[in-house]
Amino acid sequence: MTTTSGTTPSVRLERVTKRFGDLTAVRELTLDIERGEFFTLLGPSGCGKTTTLRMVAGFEEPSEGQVLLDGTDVSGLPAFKRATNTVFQSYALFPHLNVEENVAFGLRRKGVARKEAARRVSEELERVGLAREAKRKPRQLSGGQQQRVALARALVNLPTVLLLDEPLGALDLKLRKGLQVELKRIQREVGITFVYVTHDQEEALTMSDRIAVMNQGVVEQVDAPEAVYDRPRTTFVAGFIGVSNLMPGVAGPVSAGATELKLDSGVTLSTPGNGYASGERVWAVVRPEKLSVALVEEPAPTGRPSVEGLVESSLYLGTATQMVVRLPDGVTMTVLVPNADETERQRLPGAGARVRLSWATDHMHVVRESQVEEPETTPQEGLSSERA
Amino acid sequence: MSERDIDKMIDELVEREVSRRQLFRLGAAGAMSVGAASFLAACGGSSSLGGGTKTQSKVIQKSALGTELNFSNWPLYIDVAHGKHPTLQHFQKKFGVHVNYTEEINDNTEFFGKIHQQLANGNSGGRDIIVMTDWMAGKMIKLGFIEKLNKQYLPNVQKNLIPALQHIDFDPNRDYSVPWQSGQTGLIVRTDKAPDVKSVNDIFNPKYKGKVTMLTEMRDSVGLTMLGMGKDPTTGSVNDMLAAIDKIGKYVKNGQIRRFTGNDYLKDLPHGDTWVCYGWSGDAVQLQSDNKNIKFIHPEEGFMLWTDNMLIPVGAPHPYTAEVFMNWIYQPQVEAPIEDYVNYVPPVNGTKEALLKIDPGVAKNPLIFPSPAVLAKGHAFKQLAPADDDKVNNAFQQVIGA
Amino acid sequence: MAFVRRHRGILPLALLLPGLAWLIIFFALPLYYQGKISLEVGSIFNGFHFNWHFKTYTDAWSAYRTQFLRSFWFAGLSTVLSLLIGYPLAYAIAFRAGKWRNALLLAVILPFFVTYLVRTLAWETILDDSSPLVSFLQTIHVISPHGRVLATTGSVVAGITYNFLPFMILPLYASLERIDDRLLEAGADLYGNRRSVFWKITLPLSMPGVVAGVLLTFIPAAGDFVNATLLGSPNQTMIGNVIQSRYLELNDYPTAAALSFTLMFIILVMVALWAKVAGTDALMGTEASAT
Repeated sequence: MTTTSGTTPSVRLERVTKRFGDLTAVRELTLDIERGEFFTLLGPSGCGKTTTLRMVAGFEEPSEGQVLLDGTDVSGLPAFKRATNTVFQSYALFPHLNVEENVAFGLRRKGVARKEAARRVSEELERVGLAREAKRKPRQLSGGQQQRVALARALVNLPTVLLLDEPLGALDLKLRKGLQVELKRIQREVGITFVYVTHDQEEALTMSDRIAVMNQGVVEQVDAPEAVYDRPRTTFVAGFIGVSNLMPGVAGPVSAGATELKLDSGVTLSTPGNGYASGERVWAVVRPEKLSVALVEEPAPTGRPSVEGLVESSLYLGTATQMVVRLPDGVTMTVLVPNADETERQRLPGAGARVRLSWATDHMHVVRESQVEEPETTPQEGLSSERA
Repeated sequence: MSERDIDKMIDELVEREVSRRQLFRLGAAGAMSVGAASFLAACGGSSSLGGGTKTQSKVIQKSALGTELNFSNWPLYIDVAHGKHPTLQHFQKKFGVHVNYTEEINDNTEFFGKIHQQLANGNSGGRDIIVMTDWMAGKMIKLGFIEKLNKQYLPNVQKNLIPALQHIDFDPNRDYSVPWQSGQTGLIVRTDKAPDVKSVNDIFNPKYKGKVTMLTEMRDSVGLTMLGMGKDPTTGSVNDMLAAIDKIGKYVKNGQIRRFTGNDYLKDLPHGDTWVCYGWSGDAVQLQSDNKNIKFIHPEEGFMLWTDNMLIPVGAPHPYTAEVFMNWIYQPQVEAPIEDYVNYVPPVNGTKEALLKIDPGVAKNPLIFPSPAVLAKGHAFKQLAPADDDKVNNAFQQVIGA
Repeated sequence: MAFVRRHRGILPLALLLPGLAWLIIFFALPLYYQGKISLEVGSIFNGFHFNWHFKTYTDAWSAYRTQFLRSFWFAGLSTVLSLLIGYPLAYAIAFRAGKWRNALLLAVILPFFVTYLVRTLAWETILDDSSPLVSFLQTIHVISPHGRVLATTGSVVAGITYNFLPFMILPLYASLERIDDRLLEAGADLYGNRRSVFWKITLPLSMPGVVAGVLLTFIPAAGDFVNATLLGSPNQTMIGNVIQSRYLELNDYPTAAALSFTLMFIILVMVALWAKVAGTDALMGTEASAT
């Protein structure tokens, strides 16, 4: 019952499956969340992240598998007996109670004396900066204030795990950015394990210690933000986290610790890792900002893999220029060139130009297909669903 | 009300109306017993009305038959077969007049309250014929709310109206009203639960506590109770009536009287909620035939008699057609099927003979065709002056809890 | 149309007009006439004339105080019973019925497909002295061996409760159904067990339904006369019976009108008090957005 670091995990999910009728929302999920960790469940809507959270909170019971909190199996334990607290998506503040009463609710139910509760409530309200709003009703508060009340209401109980279900989803972008920072600050301050559910990859990357990317009830990858971004393991993760360029190909024989990779566009590359079966279908991923673009007439850079293609469009984005390049096999690649220098930008090839895209071997990453079939989602669609 | 008031009232009556004595004589001439004559004396007493009296001099003139006739009556007061009224269909077949038959009258006063405003403005609300009990018919005639009949067009009524009903105090020559049905109010009893009921006063027997009901119709309940107290409702004073009401009130308070009903006893008797009640003969005929333990009893002190009358309200759109209808009804063979269904006492001479041919069982029923000896014990309720009417009614309503 | 377009300010007024006209013609005007009639003297045969005759009010009150008090007693009792029966039912339909929810709601409304009178008449049959229910109650000694249910206070209150129960259940259901499930989850999440979640969250949030249900039940129940007529004895007559008999049996319009006004006034006072106790918040279903 220990993680690799040797301590009891704050939350452990063991082969947890949740079915609603014919629908399997979560499939054989195994996960350890360490004490004091800011852990994010990231994925598109319907991926099972909220269901997972609700099973930890006790609102849902797993169909199979176990949920352990601090090493104790909590199966069958109702929500009100679990040492978790939740910040709900739309806060779920009690409309008939004022801010103070909302925050005091959990303490009073736990039997904390009125006086002691009042003290802790005012401390907590102080912390979230709402001391002056103590007597107001929730509907008299702004969205951001309501969010803070929800946070205070949960944190005041000093839960071992704080569960946050898209807590910033209803706020506008500017407010969200501010609260992201604040949430992170508070989490560091109180040292409580945060399990954070979001569909916003940027939010996840900003705040988390670790991210679990979920898709169709399955965790595709659990890693630190940089790893998830730079070294996605599956096409889904690659697509969901930022715009990714996926070049399909087939793994070849392994030689000297490197695998030969034959891309569908005709280029043959060598990639460090191994473990791919010969003939296995894989994808080479390069992030748009890691690609260099040059006209085919120019000499090919040495020591850098490259592919040729046709510029379909070129879009000025202010800080960068975004080009879409179609490879011979029909795959489109997105290239992001920072607008560091105006004359350099002027010289960039326009639509219709034949170009060569090249990258450093380090920046290329080979992924397998997602564990779950998702034929319709191209990387571009993954991006749009994030913003939705 | 002091004796002097009564004397004054009687004086007024003598001056302004046909005297009761006169009516007695006329009734006697009708080859009926003296007792039945008191039936004709129906509503004897003053009919002086404070105001609003206007005389109707013109009579209904002949015109073309209307295409329809609007007839307002009490519920279950005409023959029914397969949801239709054969008599009315028959009339339509014969005269091409469609009768819009509405069962909208449940209570004399209630109906009066509903239409009096219209009638005061000479508007009948489209109604051609309405059916009202004697005392209310008298009031409405006095108020000038009723069209005067043209007897030229009512030869059958002239010929077949039973003599006992030809002359009544509120309409001595039947210038305004034509009887529809007559009825008797007496005791209806569950003989298995209350075997020895003979007298009106048996309704107050503590054995039947909570199992007796009276009628919401003041004249029936007060009249019968007066008979039990040895007072004649036809001639009794207002004080006698109030005394009877007091007595009723006493038995309401102690729970003897369960409630006051319309003909709800139709259900209460078979269900056993009621064992003894004041009720109407026509209902009893039906009840008796369905349940051999139910019996209509003419109390030994006497019983109440009354008549419901067809009237043509002022402003009726088809008065001539209404007369044609009334006249047509007054044929024994037309009346017989109605009688066969409603089971009250028919006002049309020869109905018994006509009924013998189609339903001898009913024709031989003494409740429908009571013998003169029985009728001799029938009483009509006194016609009250408005002030007295208010007083008695008020007292009665208070007692029945409303 | 062009007119409305030119005078934009007219539009809200124009939209209000039908409702306003309705209110004036069918509420204010009859009320005015009723008020006028209540101060008249006379009889239906002599005609009535207006005389500022306030004595009708005092007379009516002293003559029918018993029926007034009885009406409020019966109505109050029925309202409390409706609440006790209706709340668990509404709660079950809102939170526990699942796919049966619509069917159960339909079942609640179903009696309305039968007219009020017929429903009450059916109760008369159910409760009559020889009915199986009454024999059963006799055998288990709930009532004495010769006791009855019909024509007692019990039957009238039961009838009123039965007839107005849907008016209690529907607003209760509506307000319970509106409660966000997440609030209940939040309650559980904050260590509230079922009972404290109910008392601290569900019940307070359903107060608008309770208030509306109580008003919708109590007001018509206080003025009801059908149940007392059919299921009661003269010792159960309510003020509605008196008004109806004054109006229809005796054609005593002034007293009937005065009684109606008195009833209306008392109910208004009671509603005002109730609103004060329950709070306008609950009455309006929202709270004032002050500051």
